[in-house]
Amino acid sequence: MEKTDKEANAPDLLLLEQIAGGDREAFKVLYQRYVRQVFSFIFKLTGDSKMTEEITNDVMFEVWKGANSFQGKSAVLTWIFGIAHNKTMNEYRKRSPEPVDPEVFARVANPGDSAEEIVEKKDMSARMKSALDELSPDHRAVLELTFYQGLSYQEVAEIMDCPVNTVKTRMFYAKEKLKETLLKYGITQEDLTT
Amino acid sequence: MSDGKLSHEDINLLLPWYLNGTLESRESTEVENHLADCASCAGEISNLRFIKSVIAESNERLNEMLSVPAEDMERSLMDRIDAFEGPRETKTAPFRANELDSLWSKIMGFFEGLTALTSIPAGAIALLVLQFALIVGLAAKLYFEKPEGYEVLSGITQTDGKGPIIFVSFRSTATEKEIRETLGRIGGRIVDGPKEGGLYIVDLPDQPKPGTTVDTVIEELKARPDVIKDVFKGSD
Repeated sequence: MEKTDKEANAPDLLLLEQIAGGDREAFKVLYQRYVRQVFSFIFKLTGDSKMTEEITNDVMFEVWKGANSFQGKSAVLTWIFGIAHNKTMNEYRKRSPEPVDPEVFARVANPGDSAEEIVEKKDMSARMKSALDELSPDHRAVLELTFYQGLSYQEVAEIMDCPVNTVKTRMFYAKEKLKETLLKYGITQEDLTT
Repeated sequence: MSDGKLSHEDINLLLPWYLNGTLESRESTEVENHLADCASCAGEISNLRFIKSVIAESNERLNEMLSVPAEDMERSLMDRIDAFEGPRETKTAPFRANELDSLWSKIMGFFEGLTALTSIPAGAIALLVLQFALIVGLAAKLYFEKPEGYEVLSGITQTDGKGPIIFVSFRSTATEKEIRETLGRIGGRIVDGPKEGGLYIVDLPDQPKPGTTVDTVIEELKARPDVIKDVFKGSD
């Protein structure tokens, strides 16, 4: 797994070198490669699509400006996520995000779904969102980076700019809190297997 | 811990990363050995699998719901980069050192031929001629490029010979196309932003259409409330 990550990073490094030299085409490639992941990560922390769009733009602009300062101590994606996390937390402190309207979760339903299925999916998505929303952005970040992005605790620590022990304790409290909120919103393992 | 092995608590804290497969092999082996004997940690792994599937499921549902406006965002980002890099392009033109050397050696070659007829060194002649060309060039630039500005009633920020700037924020419902058209009509160009409150800095042309002022530009923008949320002068 580690090797796969390293192999995937080799072209990233090359791209970043080209970006540092002012190569816009290389930047577009890197942008296309990661914009969705970055957008999705920021959205998980803010729940505000407009704010997410603005921060994503800022993050990628920072990648352009800072490409020549990248020291290669971490994977390029870890570096980008670090910028994303930092900018999101700064924005979060400055202004409250406008949470996404729970109604939009109705769109998750497939066109072929029956009315019952739509209601069920909508309800499940809304409950899941509510359970995650009760977590602090730091707790959401540590869960997201570990379980969805599949990063090591060292990488999470680098992104969140904190010691590895802090990451471990944040994870401990994040999962305890999530267990509690999942219970509160009646989400069980069976819900996810159906 | 005394024999260098990780404690139950240490192992417990590592379980999320054991599950996502990113532990170093030494740590991973220790966790595996511990799990064989510890029912509590084995139970925790089951809980973590559940949490992992909640995160995956919520991501899947969100990703279906979210449509990343990639094209619009990319265009707006590239505009921002153009605005950022634009003024520096002449300074950081891709004029590599070896190309400069080559040009210099051509100039020197020419003047070396010339100095065969005089006693002045070729380098000195080349520098004198370059200096002269620079002075003439600058004088011509100042003479021919008459700075024409807006009829500014209040002082407008104007830097480096560029046009005045205004601050603009856009409606979240406005499309990239509408924004482009609206800015295109006033000849404006986003040079920075979004700043706090979603404000963008828009650079206006330094040679406006006759009769155009910053105020008339602002009025024109205000006439598009479906696209423009707020607009005001750079110096306010």
